[in-house]
Amino acid sequence: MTRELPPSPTVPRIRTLSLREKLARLRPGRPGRQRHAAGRALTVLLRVVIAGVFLAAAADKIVHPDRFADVVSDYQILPAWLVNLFAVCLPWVEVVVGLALLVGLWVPEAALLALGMTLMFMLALAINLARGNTNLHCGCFSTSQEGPGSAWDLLWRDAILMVACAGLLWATCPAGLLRALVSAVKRS
Amino acid sequence: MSSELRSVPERELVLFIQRCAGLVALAVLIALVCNTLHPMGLPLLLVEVPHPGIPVWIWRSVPSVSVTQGYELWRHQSALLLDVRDRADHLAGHIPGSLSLPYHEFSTTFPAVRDRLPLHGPILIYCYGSHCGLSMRVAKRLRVLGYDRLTVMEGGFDAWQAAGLPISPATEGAR
Repeated sequence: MTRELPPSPTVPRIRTLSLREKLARLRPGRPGRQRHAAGRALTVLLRVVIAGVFLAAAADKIVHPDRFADVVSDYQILPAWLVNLFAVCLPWVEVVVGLALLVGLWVPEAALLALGMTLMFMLALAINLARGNTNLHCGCFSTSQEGPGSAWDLLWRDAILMVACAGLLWATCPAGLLRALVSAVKRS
Repeated sequence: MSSELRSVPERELVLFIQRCAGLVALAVLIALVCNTLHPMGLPLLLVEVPHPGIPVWIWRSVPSVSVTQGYELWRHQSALLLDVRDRADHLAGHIPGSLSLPYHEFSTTFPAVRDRLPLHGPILIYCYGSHCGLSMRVAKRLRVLGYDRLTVMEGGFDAWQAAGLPISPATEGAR
């Protein structure tokens, strides 16, 4: 004759969130997840700051397209026939991206473009650094070619902007899309 | 079911890329319209103007002369010579009588030399060499300010020196 043991009392287990889950909670743009006020506020802050940077950067380039073309030309990266087209179009891409971020329209797309532009700026600086050209007229916020700045300082500044853009993209892009985007980039 | 689930991110990705392209296309469209309306609008194809950064009307209004022609202008004192090279290079040697207005110090130096630059008088601009675009860049700045008789000397100081023409090691003009 066997004697059945009484069932053990169920102890409520406190489940701690993994880092991934904690990060997921901070992502305000991700549907189906708990939205976090701090995350939303951070996203808005990033949007406004990045938009401000790009709009401020575009202003002088639009006023002086010829001087911006001179700056682009001095980087000695693009072929001469492409310099004018690039100098004319880039500031308006910055404006459109800045406005999209500011009004909150197509934010992940604008964040990706902002990230792409920042990476492009960093690459241009890195190429000139590799050439030993440490004193550059950046052309970032002003088309003036007086008083060159240090390329290293400019690179650090762009690195901060790149992190901000990447953070905004991560925060606003749906997870499935982000994975598809990353795998598409890997494939390419 | 699984294939449907798999295709959702792909559809989203296509839409995402289309939206990115849409933003860029919108920006390019606005840029092209504004470029045609802008007084310093640039030619998108380097057909008439061989160098980037120079509007067509400025290119047409600033002729180039050879070193020989430049020498004749200098000899007859029929044009003011403007050296747009860096200050150190000007101090090291320049065309006698030329005024120094370094491109990289334009904003700070121009007020000092403004009184000596004739608004409607002939000005011959030179820089380093044949591929030096600084002359045209300064010409661009001056043309916008109203200087209407500007000429650029092809070959610049290098060609002048190579031709064995007079060079003054002493500094003249704006210091």
